[in-house]
Amino acid sequence: MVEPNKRALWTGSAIDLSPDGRIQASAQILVPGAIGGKGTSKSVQYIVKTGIGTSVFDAIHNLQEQTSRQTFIGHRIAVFVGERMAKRGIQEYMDELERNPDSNLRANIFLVKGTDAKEFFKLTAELEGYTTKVATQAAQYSDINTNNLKVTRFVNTALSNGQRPFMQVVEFQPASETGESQREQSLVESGFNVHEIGLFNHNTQLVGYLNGDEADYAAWVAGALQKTVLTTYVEQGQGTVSLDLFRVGRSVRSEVRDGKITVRVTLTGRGIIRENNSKLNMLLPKDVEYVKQAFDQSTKRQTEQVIAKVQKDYGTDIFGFGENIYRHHPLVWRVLQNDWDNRFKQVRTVVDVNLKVQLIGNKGPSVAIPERNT
Amino acid sequence: MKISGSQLFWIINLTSNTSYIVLSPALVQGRQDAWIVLLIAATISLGLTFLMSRVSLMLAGKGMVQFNQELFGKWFGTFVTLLYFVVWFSIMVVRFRDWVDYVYLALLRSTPVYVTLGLTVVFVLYMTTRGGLKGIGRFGEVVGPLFVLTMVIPLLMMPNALDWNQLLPLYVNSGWNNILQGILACVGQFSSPAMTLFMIAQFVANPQHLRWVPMWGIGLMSLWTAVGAIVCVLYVGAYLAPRCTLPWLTYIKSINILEFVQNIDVFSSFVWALIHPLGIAIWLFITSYGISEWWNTKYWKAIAVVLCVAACVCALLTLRMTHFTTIVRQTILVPWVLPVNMIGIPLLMWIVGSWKIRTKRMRPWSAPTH
Repeated sequence: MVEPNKRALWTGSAIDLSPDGRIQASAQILVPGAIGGKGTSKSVQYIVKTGIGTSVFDAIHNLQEQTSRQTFIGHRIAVFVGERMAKRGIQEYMDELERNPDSNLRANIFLVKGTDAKEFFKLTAELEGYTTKVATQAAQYSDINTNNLKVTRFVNTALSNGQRPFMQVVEFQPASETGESQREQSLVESGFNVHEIGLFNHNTQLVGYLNGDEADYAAWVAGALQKTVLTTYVEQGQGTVSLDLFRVGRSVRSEVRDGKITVRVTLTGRGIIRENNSKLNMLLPKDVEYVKQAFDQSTKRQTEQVIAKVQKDYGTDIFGFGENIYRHHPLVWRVLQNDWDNRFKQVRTVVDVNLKVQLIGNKGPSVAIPERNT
Repeated sequence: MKISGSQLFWIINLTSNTSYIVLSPALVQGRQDAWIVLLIAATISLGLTFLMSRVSLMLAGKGMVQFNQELFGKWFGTFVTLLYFVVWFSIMVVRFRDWVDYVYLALLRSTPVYVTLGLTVVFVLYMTTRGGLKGIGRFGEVVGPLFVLTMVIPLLMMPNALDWNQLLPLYVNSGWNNILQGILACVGQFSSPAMTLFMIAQFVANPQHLRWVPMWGIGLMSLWTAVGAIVCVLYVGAYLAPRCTLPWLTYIKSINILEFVQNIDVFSSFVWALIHPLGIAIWLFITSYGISEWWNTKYWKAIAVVLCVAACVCALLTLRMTHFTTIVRQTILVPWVLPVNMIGIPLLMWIVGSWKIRTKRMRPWSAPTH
């Protein structure tokens, strides 16, 4: 029997490659008295512990021996993977996350860009108290559907044959690089964001990143987007319009003919215009139609660019085109699966976009355009 | 100690609550086609339940021990009866092990096994000896609806996972061999509660209930299992779900609605803690009562105490075998119990019984004429 005050509140795990090539697991452990209560208290709110071992759980066991309380992974709300570890491949180290009965299956999984995941734990988080909470909250309000950022979904995708997983990226400047190693680096100053996604290949090795807008379009094609904001220049109104899509969807249809694979992606969405800097009057259906067409075209163009970039530069099928062929043409897939990474690069994609402007906001014409008396 | 129709329904329905364990073989063999496996298995189980309920209707007035002796003669009849006692006892041991494993996996990690077992034994013995079958039936009437709620409500908690493509491709990937193996495993698990009818039949107040009520009990539970398999594939994933030891538990543990509705397994665990002992109590009751009939004594409660402790000891002895449920299913339940106790003997009993009744060598059960 372990009383709550004898347990270490293990809130986040970091999985890194140790200097000697083994697994280095770090934990962000909360100090219960300092969390919650008075926000102004200057006391330590969390501690960071690190253990090294040949497997993840071996490292966790090692970590226990440095800690005065019993570690309990059930509170873990996020797992962070360091970049070096991700590049080496994490396939063989994912089992603990799912098998361990203590493990929280609803935990998020993040990739830490440019450095070791452990560094993220060392930042001081002004608003939430500790950085793990910051990352999971940021993920919750990000454009990508939270369910697609969970460990369970990542593992299921990694197990599949026709889709490669992606991870949300935590990006920040580590303290040592900005020369502030002496004092505590604050999260705000570190330029923290969860803007990007990291792409993995069939061995679950990191192969590259997609930045914010690209990440959104990629997630949209992969069916992992829950909302997004698009801004585009509307020719007819000579200005920009921002559309907040609160409902997005996609459908994929694959076709294999004479060994040539064609994938038709249809992106849909419904949204509200939140900013109109153009001359268009949204009370006129004709003008709204201009806006819709401008968004359809720009989305189509950018999505095609992103798909082409992923095909050419990374060659890893994070969109699940292969999975779609497997599900709808299982007999064809038996042949295709052996060489899918190469074939994916030659897939011809057709993107259709059909967005709906459901609401125009509080004003018809823009208030950015002054009145002209005639 | 007569039980009503609804009590009979809950007894059969809740004895088959191992269904969430059945998800595992169905998913392993069928993957995204698990629901097909389960639906076919459910249909076959309904057929077997039909067979066994007809047999139990024949022996409604006299009990299985006497019926078998009239049917097959003294020695062979007793031998057939003993076959059932052995199977019922072993199922009881498996249920004890299931429960211990589940408690260890999901609830209490450092509690010694004998403490878990001891508490369960006290509960089971109290339920069995104080209330008898009627007590168990009444308990079932109280917790049964709760159990249905904890099984059905989580089915509705997957709002973000409605990617029905996960269920494709149909059939192509599994093939007949895999599907057949899955079906056998599931049938073994689904229709085992129907065996209890042979002993329960004499306690049913209105034996007419034996015709359809057991089929409802088993049919609804296996239908739920098929839906549960679909939900597991949709939410946990077609690749991950077959690798889970308890896919249903994995599903309810990963339910997450708006980062707010979480930890649903707390409610399910609470209800399972009531349902599992009920399942054990039924097997204990029918075994001990059957033995008391065989020995012609009325001290079935003493036999129940001895059997319960013996089952516990067996469960403790099997602790060194990991994942006992799977081992038993693969080595005993499917190759032996299914063909012998669930198909062969009931069929024999039905044929011989019908023949003897038709040739007036045996008195059939007749409805009360009032």
